Amino acid sequence: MLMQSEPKSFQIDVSKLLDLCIPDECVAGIETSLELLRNHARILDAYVLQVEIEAVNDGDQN
Amino acid sequence: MPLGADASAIVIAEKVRCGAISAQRIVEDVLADIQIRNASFNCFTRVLAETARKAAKVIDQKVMDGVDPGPLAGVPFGAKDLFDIAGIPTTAGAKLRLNAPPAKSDAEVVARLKRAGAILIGTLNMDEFAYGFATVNAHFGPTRNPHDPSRLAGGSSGGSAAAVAAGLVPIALGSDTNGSIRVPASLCGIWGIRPADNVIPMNGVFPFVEILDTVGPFARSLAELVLVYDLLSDSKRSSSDLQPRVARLDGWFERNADPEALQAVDAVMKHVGSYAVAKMPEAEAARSASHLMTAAQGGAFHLESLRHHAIDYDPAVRDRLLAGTMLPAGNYLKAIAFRTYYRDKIRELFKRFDILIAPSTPVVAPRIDQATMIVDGKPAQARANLGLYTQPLSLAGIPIVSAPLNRPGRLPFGLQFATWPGREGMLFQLLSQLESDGFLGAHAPPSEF
Repeated sequence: MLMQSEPKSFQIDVSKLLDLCIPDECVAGIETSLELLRNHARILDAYVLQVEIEAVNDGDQN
Repeated sequence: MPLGADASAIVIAEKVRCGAISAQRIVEDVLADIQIRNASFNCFTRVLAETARKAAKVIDQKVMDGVDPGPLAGVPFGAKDLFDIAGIPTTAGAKLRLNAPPAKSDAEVVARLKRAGAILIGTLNMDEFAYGFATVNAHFGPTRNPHDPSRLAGGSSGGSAAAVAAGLVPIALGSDTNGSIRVPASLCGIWGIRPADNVIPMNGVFPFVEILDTVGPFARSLAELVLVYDLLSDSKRSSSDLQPRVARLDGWFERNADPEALQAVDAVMKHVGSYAVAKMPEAEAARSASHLMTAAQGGAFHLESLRHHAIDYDPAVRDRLLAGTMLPAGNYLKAIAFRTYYRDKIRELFKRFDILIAPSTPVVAPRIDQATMIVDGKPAQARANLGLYTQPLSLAGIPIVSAPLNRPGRLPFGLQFATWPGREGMLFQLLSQLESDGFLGAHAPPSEF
Protein backbone atom coordinates (compact mmCIF):
# COMPACT_ATOMS: atom_id res chain seq x y z
CA MET A 1 0.00 0.00 0.00
CA LEU A 2 1.48 3.29 -1.02
CA MET A 3 1.04 6.35 1.11
CA GLN A 4 -1.22 8.91 -0.51
CA SER A 5 0.42 12.24 -1.06
CA GLU A 6 0.67 15.23 -3.34
CA PRO A 7 3.76 16.09 -5.31
CA LYS A 8 5.55 18.72 -3.31
CA SER A 9 9.05 19.68 -2.42
CA PHE A 10 10.64 19.85 0.97
CA GLN A 11 12.52 22.93 2.12
CA ILE A 12 15.44 22.78 4.48
CA ASP A 13 17.19 25.50 6.35
CA VAL A 14 20.81 24.57 5.81
CA SER A 15 21.78 26.64 8.83
CA LYS A 16 20.25 23.83 10.88
CA LEU A 17 23.32 21.83 10.01
CA LEU A 18 25.26 24.15 12.25
CA ASP A 19 23.21 22.72 15.11
CA LEU A 20 24.77 19.38 14.23
CA CYS A 21 28.19 20.94 14.88
CA ILE A 22 29.14 20.70 11.20
CA PRO A 23 31.74 23.37 10.34
CA ASP A 24 30.63 26.21 8.06
CA GLU A 25 33.07 25.31 5.31
CA CYS A 26 31.62 21.80 5.12
CA VAL A 27 28.06 22.89 4.35
CA ALA A 28 28.91 25.29 1.52
CA GLY A 29 28.30 22.72 -1.22
CA ILE A 30 25.30 20.99 0.23
CA GLU A 31 22.60 22.87 -1.67
CA THR A 32 23.31 21.03 -4.95
CA SER A 33 22.91 17.69 -3.19
CA LEU A 34 19.72 18.88 -1.49
CA GLU A 35 18.27 19.96 -4.82
CA LEU A 36 19.02 16.51 -6.24
CA LEU A 37 17.15 14.92 -3.35
CA ARG A 38 14.23 17.31 -3.84
CA ASN A 39 14.05 16.26 -7.49
CA HIS A 40 13.98 12.59 -6.57
CA ALA A 41 11.37 13.22 -3.89
CA ARG A 42 9.23 15.00 -6.51
CA ILE A 43 9.58 12.10 -8.98
CA LEU A 44 8.60 9.56 -6.34
CA ASP A 45 5.69 11.71 -5.14
CA ALA A 46 4.40 12.15 -8.67
CA TYR A 47 4.51 8.42 -9.32
CA VAL A 48 2.77 7.58 -6.06
CA LEU A 49 0.06 10.14 -6.77
CA GLN A 50 -0.49 8.74 -10.26
CA VAL A 51 -0.86 5.23 -8.83
CA GLU A 52 -3.33 6.47 -6.23
CA ILE A 53 -5.39 8.30 -8.86
CA GLU A 54 -5.45 5.23 -11.11
CA ALA A 55 -6.53 3.11 -8.16
CA VAL A 56 -9.37 5.51 -7.40
CA ASN A 57 -10.43 5.60 -11.07
CA ASP A 58 -10.35 1.81 -11.27
CA GLY A 59 -12.51 1.70 -8.17
CA ASP A 60 -15.01 4.12 -9.74
CA GLN A 61 -15.25 1.99 -12.86
CA ASN A 62 -15.80 -1.13 -10.82
CA MET B 1 56.50 -22.63 -16.83
CA PRO B 2 55.38 -19.01 -16.33
CA LEU B 3 51.76 -18.08 -16.84
CA GLY B 4 50.76 -14.87 -18.59
CA ALA B 5 49.36 -11.96 -16.64
CA ASP B 6 45.94 -12.69 -18.07
CA ALA B 7 45.87 -16.39 -17.11
CA SER B 8 42.45 -17.49 -15.90
CA ALA B 9 41.69 -18.57 -12.36
CA ILE B 10 40.70 -21.98 -13.72
CA VAL B 11 44.01 -22.53 -15.54
CA ILE B 12 46.04 -21.32 -12.55
CA ALA B 13 44.20 -23.60 -10.12
CA GLU B 14 44.55 -26.60 -12.44
CA LYS B 15 48.29 -26.12 -12.79
CA VAL B 16 48.89 -25.44 -9.10
CA ARG B 17 46.78 -28.39 -8.02
CA CYS B 18 48.72 -30.81 -10.20
CA GLY B 19 52.10 -29.33 -9.29
CA ALA B 20 52.82 -28.00 -12.79
CA ILE B 21 53.53 -24.58 -11.31
CA SER B 22 53.96 -23.41 -7.74
CA ALA B 23 51.68 -20.96 -6.00
CA GLN B 24 54.80 -19.12 -4.87
CA ARG B 25 55.81 -18.60 -8.48
CA ILE B 26 52.34 -17.32 -9.32
CA VAL B 27 52.46 -14.86 -6.43
CA GLU B 28 55.93 -13.57 -7.32
CA ASP B 29 54.86 -13.04 -10.94
CA VAL B 30 51.72 -11.18 -9.86
CA LEU B 31 53.60 -8.99 -7.37
CA ALA B 32 56.19 -8.11 -10.02
CA ASP B 33 53.45 -7.29 -12.53
CA ILE B 34 51.64 -5.06 -10.03
CA GLN B 35 54.92 -3.30 -9.24
CA ILE B 36 55.31 -2.42 -12.92
CA ARG B 37 51.75 -1.77 -14.09
CA ASN B 38 49.57 -0.74 -11.14
CA ALA B 39 50.77 2.87 -11.35
CA SER B 40 49.13 3.20 -14.77
CA PHE B 41 45.68 2.35 -13.39
CA ASN B 42 45.86 2.94 -9.62
CA CYS B 43 43.89 -0.17 -8.73
CA PHE B 44 45.61 -1.33 -5.55
CA THR B 45 45.61 0.76 -2.38
CA ARG B 46 47.67 -1.78 -0.39
CA VAL B 47 49.67 -4.76 -1.65
CA LEU B 48 49.97 -7.48 1.00
CA ALA B 49 53.11 -9.09 -0.37
CA GLU B 50 54.37 -10.92 2.67
CA THR B 51 51.05 -12.43 3.70
CA ALA B 52 50.50 -13.50 0.09
CA ARG B 53 53.92 -15.19 0.02
CA LYS B 54 53.15 -17.03 3.25
CA ALA B 55 49.77 -18.19 1.94
CA ALA B 56 51.39 -19.42 -1.29
CA LYS B 57 53.93 -21.42 0.70
CA VAL B 58 51.12 -23.14 2.59
CA ILE B 59 49.37 -24.03 -0.68
CA ASP B 60 52.54 -25.47 -2.18
CA GLN B 61 53.14 -27.53 0.95
CA LYS B 62 49.62 -28.96 0.72
CA VAL B 63 50.27 -29.97 -2.90
CA MET B 64 53.54 -31.62 -1.90
CA ASP B 65 51.83 -33.45 0.98
CA GLY B 66 49.02 -34.69 -1.25
CA VAL B 67 46.43 -32.60 0.64
CA ASP B 68 43.67 -31.00 -1.47
CA PRO B 69 44.63 -27.30 -1.69
CA GLY B 70 41.13 -26.26 -2.79
CA PRO B 71 39.41 -25.45 -6.08
CA LEU B 72 41.08 -22.03 -6.31
CA ALA B 73 44.55 -23.22 -5.30
CA GLY B 74 47.09 -20.47 -5.88
CA VAL B 75 44.61 -18.11 -7.57
CA PRO B 76 45.50 -14.48 -6.76
CA PHE B 77 42.63 -12.16 -5.90
CA GLY B 78 42.05 -8.61 -4.73
CA ALA B 79 39.35 -7.24 -2.45
CA LYS B 80 37.69 -3.83 -2.53
CA ASP B 81 38.93 -1.86 0.44
CA LEU B 82 35.71 -2.30 2.41
CA PHE B 83 36.16 -5.99 3.23
CA ASP B 84 37.72 -6.73 6.61
CA ILE B 85 41.19 -8.20 6.29
CA ALA B 86 42.53 -9.53 9.58
CA GLY B 87 45.33 -7.36 10.92
CA ILE B 88 44.83 -4.20 8.84
CA PRO B 89 42.33 -1.32 9.02
CA THR B 90 39.30 -1.43 6.73
CA THR B 91 39.53 2.01 5.14
CA ALA B 92 36.34 1.94 3.01
CA GLY B 93 38.30 4.31 0.80
CA ALA B 94 38.41 7.01 3.48
CA LYS B 95 41.41 8.92 4.73
CA LEU B 96 39.82 9.21 8.14
CA ARG B 97 39.86 5.42 8.51
CA LEU B 98 43.53 4.93 7.65
CA ASN B 99 44.30 4.58 11.36
CA ALA B 100 41.17 2.68 12.33
CA PRO B 101 41.71 -0.36 14.55
CA PRO B 102 42.82 -3.37 12.51
CA ALA B 103 40.13 -5.89 11.65
CA LYS B 104 40.16 -8.89 13.97
CA SER B 105 39.18 -11.38 11.29
CA ASP B 106 38.58 -11.61 7.57
CA ALA B 107 35.22 -10.81 6.04
CA GLU B 108 33.33 -14.04 5.45
CA VAL B 109 33.69 -13.85 1.66
CA VAL B 110 37.44 -13.25 1.92
CA ALA B 111 37.70 -16.21 4.29
CA ARG B 112 35.73 -18.41 1.88
CA LEU B 113 38.05 -17.62 -1.02
CA LYS B 114 41.09 -18.26 1.17
CA ARG B 115 39.63 -21.58 2.32
CA ALA B 116 39.23 -22.49 -1.37
CA GLY B 117 42.97 -21.91 -1.82
CA ALA B 118 42.88 -18.41 -3.31
CA ILE B 119 45.57 -15.96 -2.26
CA LEU B 120 44.74 -12.39 -1.27
CA ILE B 121 47.14 -9.99 -2.99
CA GLY B 122 45.86 -6.65 -1.75
CA THR B 123 43.09 -4.11 -1.26
CA LEU B 124 41.52 -2.20 -4.15
CA ASN B 125 40.53 1.41 -4.71
CA MET B 126 36.93 2.63 -4.46
CA ASP B 127 34.82 5.73 -4.11
CA GLU B 128 34.94 6.91 -0.51
CA PHE B 129 32.48 4.88 1.55
CA ALA B 130 31.26 3.35 -1.74
CA TYR B 131 29.26 6.52 -2.52
CA GLY B 132 29.88 7.00 -6.24
CA PHE B 133 29.94 5.51 -9.73
CA ALA B 134 33.40 6.74 -10.71
CA THR B 135 36.21 5.63 -8.35
CA VAL B 136 37.56 9.14 -8.27
CA ASN B 137 38.82 9.16 -4.70
CA ALA B 138 39.92 12.48 -3.22
CA HIS B 139 42.53 10.78 -1.06
CA PHE B 140 43.72 7.78 -3.07
CA GLY B 141 43.31 9.27 -6.56
CA PRO B 142 41.25 8.06 -9.52
CA THR B 143 41.36 4.51 -10.80
CA ARG B 144 41.92 4.59 -14.54
CA ASN B 145 40.22 2.43 -17.13
CA PRO B 146 42.65 -0.18 -18.55
CA HIS B 147 41.07 0.23 -21.99
CA ASP B 148 41.87 3.96 -21.97
CA PRO B 149 43.53 5.44 -18.87
CA SER B 150 42.10 8.87 -19.63
CA ARG B 151 38.66 7.44 -18.86
CA LEU B 152 36.78 6.39 -15.75
CA ALA B 153 36.88 2.80 -14.55
CA GLY B 154 33.42 3.26 -13.05
CA GLY B 155 32.56 2.75 -9.43
CA SER B 156 32.37 2.34 -6.69
CA SER B 157 34.24 -0.96 -7.10
CA GLY B 158 36.46 0.55 -9.80
CA GLY B 159 39.74 -0.73 -8.40
CA SER B 160 38.38 -4.28 -8.44
CA ALA B 161 37.07 -4.07 -12.00
CA ALA B 162 40.16 -2.36 -13.39
CA ALA B 163 42.54 -4.81 -11.69
CA VAL B 164 40.73 -7.74 -13.32
CA ALA B 165 40.37 -6.02 -16.70
CA ALA B 166 44.08 -5.11 -16.69
CA GLY B 167 45.03 -8.70 -15.90
CA LEU B 168 46.67 -7.80 -12.58
CA VAL B 169 44.55 -10.48 -10.87
CA PRO B 170 42.08 -12.94 -12.43
CA ILE B 171 39.32 -12.36 -9.88
CA ALA B 172 38.32 -9.65 -7.41
CA LEU B 173 35.62 -8.89 -4.89
CA GLY B 174 33.41 -5.83 -4.99
CA SER B 175 30.17 -4.54 -3.54
CA ASP B 176 27.00 -3.36 -5.26
CA THR B 177 24.49 -1.08 -3.56
CA ASN B 178 23.16 0.91 -6.51
CA GLY B 179 25.29 -0.55 -9.29
CA SER B 180 28.82 -0.51 -7.91
CA ILE B 181 29.69 -3.90 -9.44
CA ARG B 182 27.70 -3.61 -12.66
CA VAL B 183 28.78 -0.08 -13.65
CA PRO B 184 32.55 -0.72 -13.44
CA ALA B 185 32.14 -4.20 -14.94
CA SER B 186 30.43 -2.56 -17.91
CA LEU B 187 32.95 0.26 -18.37
CA CYS B 188 35.97 -2.06 -17.93
CA GLY B 189 34.54 -4.81 -20.16
CA ILE B 190 34.42 -7.72 -17.72
CA TRP B 191 31.85 -9.90 -15.95
CA GLY B 192 30.33 -8.96 -12.61
CA ILE B 193 27.36 -10.18 -10.61
CA ARG B 194 25.13 -8.50 -8.07
CA PRO B 195 23.62 -11.46 -6.19
CA ALA B 196 20.07 -11.68 -4.89
CA ASP B 197 19.56 -10.33 -1.39
CA ASN B 198 20.90 -12.54 1.42
CA VAL B 199 22.64 -15.03 -0.86
CA ILE B 200 26.27 -13.99 -0.24
CA PRO B 201 27.12 -13.18 3.39
CA MET B 202 27.85 -9.59 4.39
CA ASN B 203 29.77 -10.29 7.61
CA GLY B 204 32.85 -8.10 7.82
CA VAL B 205 31.80 -5.73 5.04
CA PHE B 206 31.87 -2.01 5.84
CA PRO B 207 28.26 -0.93 5.36
CA PHE B 208 26.98 1.77 3.04
CA VAL B 209 23.20 1.33 2.78
CA GLU B 210 22.46 -1.92 4.55
CA ILE B 211 19.02 -2.35 3.01
CA LEU B 212 20.58 -2.33 -0.48
CA ASP B 213 24.15 -3.60 0.04
CA THR B 214 25.34 -6.79 -1.66
CA VAL B 215 28.79 -8.20 -2.49
CA GLY B 216 29.97 -10.23 -5.46
CA PRO B 217 32.85 -11.18 -7.74
CA PHE B 218 34.39 -9.86 -10.97
CA ALA B 219 36.06 -12.09 -13.58
CA ARG B 220 37.14 -12.07 -17.22
CA SER B 221 35.05 -15.09 -18.19
CA LEU B 222 31.65 -16.45 -17.23
CA ALA B 223 33.17 -19.77 -16.11
CA GLU B 224 35.41 -17.99 -13.60
CA LEU B 225 32.55 -15.78 -12.41
CA VAL B 226 30.28 -18.77 -11.79
CA LEU B 227 33.05 -20.76 -10.11
CA VAL B 228 33.65 -17.96 -7.60
CA TYR B 229 29.95 -17.15 -7.22
CA ASP B 230 29.21 -20.77 -6.27
CA LEU B 231 31.98 -20.73 -3.67
CA LEU B 232 30.64 -17.51 -2.12
CA SER B 233 26.94 -18.29 -2.29
CA ASP B 234 24.95 -19.72 0.60
CA SER B 235 22.33 -21.22 -1.69
CA LYS B 236 22.70 -24.24 -3.94
CA ARG B 237 22.06 -23.33 -7.53
CA SER B 238 19.79 -25.59 -9.56
CA SER B 239 20.13 -26.09 -13.29
CA SER B 240 17.20 -26.09 -15.66
CA ASP B 241 16.54 -27.63 -19.05
CA LEU B 242 13.64 -25.26 -19.67
CA GLN B 243 14.00 -22.67 -22.39
CA PRO B 244 14.13 -19.30 -20.59
CA ARG B 245 11.48 -16.72 -21.37
CA VAL B 246 13.61 -13.70 -22.29
CA ALA B 247 12.41 -10.11 -22.62
CA ARG B 248 14.03 -6.75 -23.12
CA LEU B 249 13.23 -3.91 -20.77
CA ASP B 250 12.00 -0.85 -22.63
CA GLY B 251 10.97 2.65 -21.59
CA TRP B 252 13.36 3.94 -18.93
CA PHE B 253 16.01 1.41 -19.99
CA GLU B 254 16.07 2.69 -23.56
CA ARG B 255 15.88 6.41 -22.89
CA ASN B 256 19.34 7.94 -23.06
CA ALA B 257 21.01 4.71 -24.15
CA ASP B 258 23.85 4.70 -26.65
CA PRO B 259 22.36 3.42 -29.94
CA GLU B 260 25.04 0.73 -30.02
CA ALA B 261 23.81 -0.60 -26.66
CA LEU B 262 20.28 -0.88 -28.01
CA GLN B 263 21.54 -2.57 -31.17
CA ALA B 264 23.35 -5.08 -28.97
CA VAL B 265 20.17 -5.80 -27.04
CA ASP B 266 18.35 -6.25 -30.38
CA ALA B 267 21.00 -8.68 -31.58
CA VAL B 268 20.85 -10.77 -28.41
CA MET B 269 17.05 -10.87 -28.49
CA LYS B 270 17.04 -11.93 -32.13
CA HIS B 271 19.62 -14.62 -31.40
CA VAL B 272 17.56 -16.12 -28.58
CA GLY B 273 14.45 -15.92 -30.75
CA SER B 274 12.45 -13.61 -28.53
CA TYR B 275 10.70 -10.35 -29.37
CA ALA B 276 9.11 -9.94 -25.96
CA VAL B 277 9.18 -6.55 -24.31
CA ALA B 278 8.87 -6.17 -20.55
CA LYS B 279 7.32 -3.00 -19.16
CA MET B 280 8.63 -1.60 -15.90
CA PRO B 281 6.84 1.73 -15.61
CA GLU B 282 8.04 2.05 -12.01
CA ALA B 283 11.71 2.24 -13.04
CA GLU B 284 12.20 6.00 -12.72
CA ALA B 285 10.43 6.11 -9.37
CA ALA B 286 12.48 3.11 -8.25
CA ARG B 287 15.66 4.98 -9.07
CA SER B 288 14.45 7.97 -7.10
CA ALA B 289 13.47 5.78 -4.16
CA SER B 290 16.96 4.27 -4.22
CA HIS B 291 18.51 7.74 -4.21
CA LEU B 292 16.44 8.81 -1.21
CA MET B 293 17.08 5.63 0.77
CA THR B 294 20.80 5.83 0.00
CA ALA B 295 21.13 9.43 1.12
CA ALA B 296 19.03 8.96 4.25
CA GLN B 297 20.59 5.69 5.43
CA GLY B 298 24.11 6.72 4.45
CA GLY B 299 23.68 10.08 6.16
CA ALA B 300 22.28 8.54 9.32
CA PHE B 301 25.14 6.03 9.49
CA HIS B 302 27.77 8.75 9.14
CA LEU B 303 26.15 11.50 11.18
CA GLU B 304 28.16 10.98 14.35
CA SER B 305 31.39 10.75 12.40
CA LEU B 306 30.46 13.86 10.42
CA ARG B 307 30.01 15.82 13.65
CA HIS B 308 33.66 15.26 14.50
CA HIS B 309 35.46 14.65 11.20
CA ALA B 310 33.45 16.37 8.46
CA ILE B 311 36.54 18.15 7.19
CA ASP B 312 38.25 14.80 6.54
CA TYR B 313 35.56 13.51 4.17
CA ASP B 314 35.81 13.67 0.39
CA PRO B 315 33.81 16.90 -0.22
CA ALA B 316 31.65 15.29 -2.91
CA VAL B 317 30.72 12.44 -0.57
CA ARG B 318 30.27 14.70 2.45
CA ASP B 319 27.82 16.97 0.65
CA ARG B 320 25.55 14.06 -0.24
CA LEU B 321 25.75 12.47 3.20
CA LEU B 322 24.94 15.78 4.89
CA ALA B 323 22.02 16.33 2.55
CA GLY B 324 20.85 12.85 3.47
CA THR B 325 20.86 13.71 7.17
CA MET B 326 18.42 16.52 6.40
CA LEU B 327 15.94 14.46 4.37
CA PRO B 328 12.49 14.59 6.03
CA ALA B 329 11.47 11.25 7.50
CA GLY B 330 8.28 11.26 5.42
CA ASN B 331 10.26 11.15 2.19
CA TYR B 332 12.38 8.29 3.46
CA LEU B 333 9.36 6.32 4.65
CA LYS B 334 7.64 6.85 1.32
CA ALA B 335 10.69 5.37 -0.43
CA ILE B 336 10.60 2.36 1.90
CA ALA B 337 6.87 1.86 1.25
CA PHE B 338 7.46 2.16 -2.48
CA ARG B 339 10.12 -0.55 -2.27
CA THR B 340 7.56 -3.08 -1.01
CA TYR B 341 5.08 -2.09 -3.71
CA TYR B 342 7.78 -2.23 -6.39
CA ARG B 343 8.97 -5.68 -5.37
CA ASP B 344 5.42 -6.98 -5.74
CA LYS B 345 5.35 -5.56 -9.27
CA ILE B 346 8.68 -7.19 -10.11
CA ARG B 347 7.44 -10.52 -8.76
CA GLU B 348 4.46 -10.25 -11.13
CA LEU B 349 6.82 -9.47 -14.04
CA PHE B 350 8.85 -12.60 -13.37
CA LYS B 351 5.74 -14.75 -13.53
CA ARG B 352 5.78 -14.03 -17.26
CA PHE B 353 9.52 -13.88 -17.89
CA ASP B 354 12.69 -15.57 -16.65
CA ILE B 355 15.36 -13.17 -17.82
CA LEU B 356 15.20 -9.44 -18.47
CA ILE B 357 17.83 -7.64 -20.52
CA ALA B 358 18.89 -3.98 -20.41
CA PRO B 359 22.12 -2.02 -20.91
CA SER B 360 24.33 -1.80 -17.82
CA THR B 361 25.38 1.78 -18.51
CA PRO B 362 23.95 4.36 -20.91
CA VAL B 363 27.35 5.12 -22.42
CA VAL B 364 30.92 3.85 -22.67
CA ALA B 365 33.37 5.12 -20.05
CA PRO B 366 33.39 8.93 -19.89
CA ARG B 367 36.69 10.75 -19.75
CA ILE B 368 37.84 11.41 -16.19
CA ASP B 369 37.68 15.15 -16.83
CA GLN B 370 34.20 14.95 -18.42
CA ALA B 371 31.84 16.64 -15.98
CA THR B 372 28.53 16.13 -17.77
CA MET B 373 26.62 13.83 -20.06
CA ILE B 374 23.30 14.40 -21.79
CA VAL B 375 20.29 12.98 -19.96
CA ASP B 376 16.83 13.63 -21.40
CA GLY B 377 18.32 16.27 -23.71
CA LYS B 378 19.96 18.26 -20.93
CA PRO B 379 23.48 18.27 -19.49
CA ALA B 380 23.62 16.29 -16.24
CA GLN B 381 26.41 15.16 -13.95
CA ALA B 382 28.16 12.31 -15.75
CA ARG B 383 29.29 10.46 -12.64
CA ALA B 384 25.89 10.55 -10.95
CA ASN B 385 24.11 9.20 -14.01
CA LEU B 386 26.23 6.19 -14.81
CA GLY B 387 23.82 4.23 -12.61
CA LEU B 388 20.70 5.21 -14.58
CA TYR B 389 19.94 1.60 -15.48
CA THR B 390 21.41 -0.22 -12.47
CA GLN B 391 19.64 1.62 -9.65
CA PRO B 392 16.06 0.61 -10.50
CA LEU B 393 17.04 -3.06 -10.61
CA SER B 394 19.00 -2.85 -7.35
CA LEU B 395 15.83 -1.97 -5.49
CA ALA B 396 14.25 -5.23 -6.66
CA GLY B 397 16.76 -7.36 -4.74
CA ILE B 398 17.18 -9.79 -7.65
CA PRO B 399 20.34 -11.38 -9.11
CA ILE B 400 21.82 -9.46 -12.03
CA VAL B 401 24.87 -10.19 -14.15
CA SER B 402 26.63 -7.44 -16.08
CA ALA B 403 28.05 -9.21 -19.13
CA PRO B 404 30.62 -7.63 -21.46
CA LEU B 405 29.61 -7.24 -25.07
CA ASN B 406 32.01 -8.86 -27.50
CA ARG B 407 33.41 -5.79 -29.27
CA PRO B 408 37.19 -6.13 -29.58
CA GLY B 409 39.15 -2.98 -30.27
CA ARG B 410 36.40 -0.65 -29.04
CA LEU B 411 35.61 0.84 -25.67
CA PRO B 412 33.64 -1.77 -23.73
CA PHE B 413 30.21 -1.74 -22.25
CA GLY B 414 27.93 -4.38 -20.84
CA LEU B 415 24.39 -5.63 -20.69
CA GLN B 416 22.45 -6.48 -17.55
CA PHE B 417 20.79 -9.88 -17.41
CA ALA B 418 18.38 -9.99 -14.47
CA THR B 419 16.49 -13.02 -13.21
CA TRP B 420 14.32 -14.06 -10.28
CA PRO B 421 16.09 -15.52 -7.22
CA GLY B 422 16.49 -19.28 -7.67
CA ARG B 423 16.74 -19.05 -11.45
CA GLU B 424 20.47 -18.26 -11.50
CA GLY B 425 21.24 -21.63 -13.12
CA MET B 426 18.96 -20.83 -16.04
CA LEU B 427 20.59 -17.40 -16.35
CA PHE B 428 24.12 -18.82 -16.40
CA GLN B 429 23.11 -21.34 -19.07
CA LEU B 430 21.81 -18.60 -21.34
CA LEU B 431 24.91 -16.47 -20.76
CA SER B 432 27.17 -19.44 -21.51
CA GLN B 433 25.35 -19.94 -24.79
CA LEU B 434 25.68 -16.25 -25.68
CA GLU B 435 29.38 -16.29 -24.76
CA SER B 436 29.97 -19.41 -26.90
CA ASP B 437 28.06 -17.87 -29.79
CA GLY B 438 30.25 -14.76 -29.72
CA PHE B 439 27.80 -12.16 -28.45
CA LEU B 440 29.44 -11.75 -25.06
CA GLY B 441 33.07 -11.84 -23.97
CA ALA B 442 35.86 -9.86 -22.33
CA HIS B 443 38.88 -8.61 -24.25
CA ALA B 444 42.35 -7.70 -23.12
CA PRO B 445 42.98 -3.94 -23.11
CA PRO B 446 45.28 -2.47 -25.76
CA SER B 447 48.85 -3.53 -25.09
CA GLU B 448 50.18 0.05 -25.07
CA PHE B 449 48.53 0.54 -21.69
